Amino acid sequence: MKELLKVHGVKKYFKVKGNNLLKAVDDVSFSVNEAQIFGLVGESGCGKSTLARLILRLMEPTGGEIFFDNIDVINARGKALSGIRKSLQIVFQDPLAALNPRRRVIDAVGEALLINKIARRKELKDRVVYLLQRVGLDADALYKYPHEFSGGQRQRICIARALSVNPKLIVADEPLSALDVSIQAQILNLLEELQRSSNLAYILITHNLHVIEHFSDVVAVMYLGKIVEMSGTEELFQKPFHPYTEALLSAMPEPEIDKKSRRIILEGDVPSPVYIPAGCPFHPRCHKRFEPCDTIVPAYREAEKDRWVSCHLF
Amino acid sequence: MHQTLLSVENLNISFNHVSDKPLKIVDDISFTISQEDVVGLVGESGCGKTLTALSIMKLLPSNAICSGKVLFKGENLLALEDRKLRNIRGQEISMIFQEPMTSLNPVFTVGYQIAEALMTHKNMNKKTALEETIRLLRDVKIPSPELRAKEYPHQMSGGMRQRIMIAMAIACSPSLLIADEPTTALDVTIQAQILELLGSLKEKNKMSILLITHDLGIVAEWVQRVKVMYAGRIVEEADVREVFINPRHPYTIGLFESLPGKKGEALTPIPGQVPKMDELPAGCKFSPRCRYAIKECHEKEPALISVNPPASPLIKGGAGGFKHLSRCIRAMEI
Repeated sequence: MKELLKVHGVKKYFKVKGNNLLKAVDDVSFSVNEAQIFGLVGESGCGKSTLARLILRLMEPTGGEIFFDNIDVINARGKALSGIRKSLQIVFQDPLAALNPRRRVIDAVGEALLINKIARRKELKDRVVYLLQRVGLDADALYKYPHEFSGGQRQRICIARALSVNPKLIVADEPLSALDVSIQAQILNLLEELQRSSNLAYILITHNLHVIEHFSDVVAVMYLGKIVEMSGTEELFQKPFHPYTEALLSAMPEPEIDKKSRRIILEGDVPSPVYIPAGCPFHPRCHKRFEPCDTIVPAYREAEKDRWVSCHLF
Repeated sequence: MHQTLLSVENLNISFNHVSDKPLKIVDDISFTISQEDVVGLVGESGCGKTLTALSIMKLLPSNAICSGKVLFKGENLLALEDRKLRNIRGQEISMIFQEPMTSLNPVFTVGYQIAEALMTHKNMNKKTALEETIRLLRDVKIPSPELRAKEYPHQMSGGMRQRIMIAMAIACSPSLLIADEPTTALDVTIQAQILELLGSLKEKNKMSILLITHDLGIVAEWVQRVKVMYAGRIVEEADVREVFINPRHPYTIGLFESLPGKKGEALTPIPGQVPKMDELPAGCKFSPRCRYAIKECHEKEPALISVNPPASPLIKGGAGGFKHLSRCIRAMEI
């Protein structure tokens, strides 16, 4: 399988009050293959959305390298950059906030087609209708405004807009969390179908582990700006290595009766990313901490084949 | 079985609408909550679950037209004058909301906000109220409560704020707690903490809880009796085991089939979308999205019927004698 995206040692630090550094993303490395679904999970504030914005170069990283199709994303300029922008698209969490309320669907979806000279103005309507059909909307949506649609339909419009430039990779940042359960399944099915028909790769960012289990091939778990565990989805759900992953999985309420598994309740809140604890960043909340955890940072290493973890236990 | 604490009878809530006819949002809802019972109200956004909860506290917006009865310990809250109602709100019934930041007052310390309830309802003086507040903060597991009591809401994390809301809600040991999506704004690990806390407080204070949620996972673990709402109506209600093992309404079945499972298992979403309340279809309100719908479904709205007798072989022992009701004419066939 061909490697599509390679992220190596990427960092993003923000300067905050008192000359402190907020390490939003700290030394993150992974790669995504063609047509692969890469799941990124973690709690709010763990840096997953910052990481997404770095990959799309909506933000400049503090350090590290990002390659897309062997092109250096961070240093790309001009034509090379707009080429990358075409192949890399994003779908955001709140579709109402992501759509301009004063632009009709044909303008919102069609703009990128005109700018990138994919369609001429007179064929624009047909192109947009085709895109709308792919995401399950009728042609009568063309001249409507975002407020005339329901949440699920708006998310479909955002997906149509992302698809308009024929991307190879779509970053979906919590694409389902603003939607109702019955609509979530519709959008999830749509994403799956598009992946099969267009050979798309996804980076799916979510806090919903059920969605990750259902959807992704590979999962990375983030905590305080770092990936603490990465592995194939099935392996990870069968036997999580990192105690944080274990706690996260056990905290998921299971919609099944008579399946009361042992729940690991973590102590306290996620620490502030400005004052990251010494040693393993997870140790103050860890139920398995032992001697070296509060002083020595565990290395991120391959504990088993294709299973990466940063924990002194492995 | 425990005594009935709250009984909602034929509750209707309407709003004046642009058209000449008032728009009905909650349509003829009835249910009861017994002592130490946990009842779950499940449904998607806009189905009327929050309005139902607000009507119990008589907190509906002033333009709402409300009919029916809300009997709490035998007294109809909807007919009660405000002065008497104030003694019940916060003392006998209290409520926690989804978003703690918007429910807390940003310009008062959290300690003062909790103590206020105690001073109002329990006639405590400021000193005893503050002592009691610190004890409550300890109950909801806030570290260093003496210091935290002097802080303002913005100095706390989301999970902490929700703990403050809970401390405030249980301050006067209410007999009924209404929790409206109490963990939706929180991360899963914090959600687990809050739910465990609510569970232990329920045991300790012998509270009944009305839990409003859209998360079937929370329902499975938490609730004893479930009411599923759709378009302002209860479409199914039963003991939680019945609902999960033997759902009898197409909407409930659809909700379960929409949940993502293992990789490769296909999802069966409910087609279409929740209808707008001013464009409700004739007949069964779910019929346009229902794969079991037949001609009659589009013509006449079905009543809530009992599906109990033949459908319960899976329940072992203590179903508690709760009726299994479904608003579907084909409930027995599907």
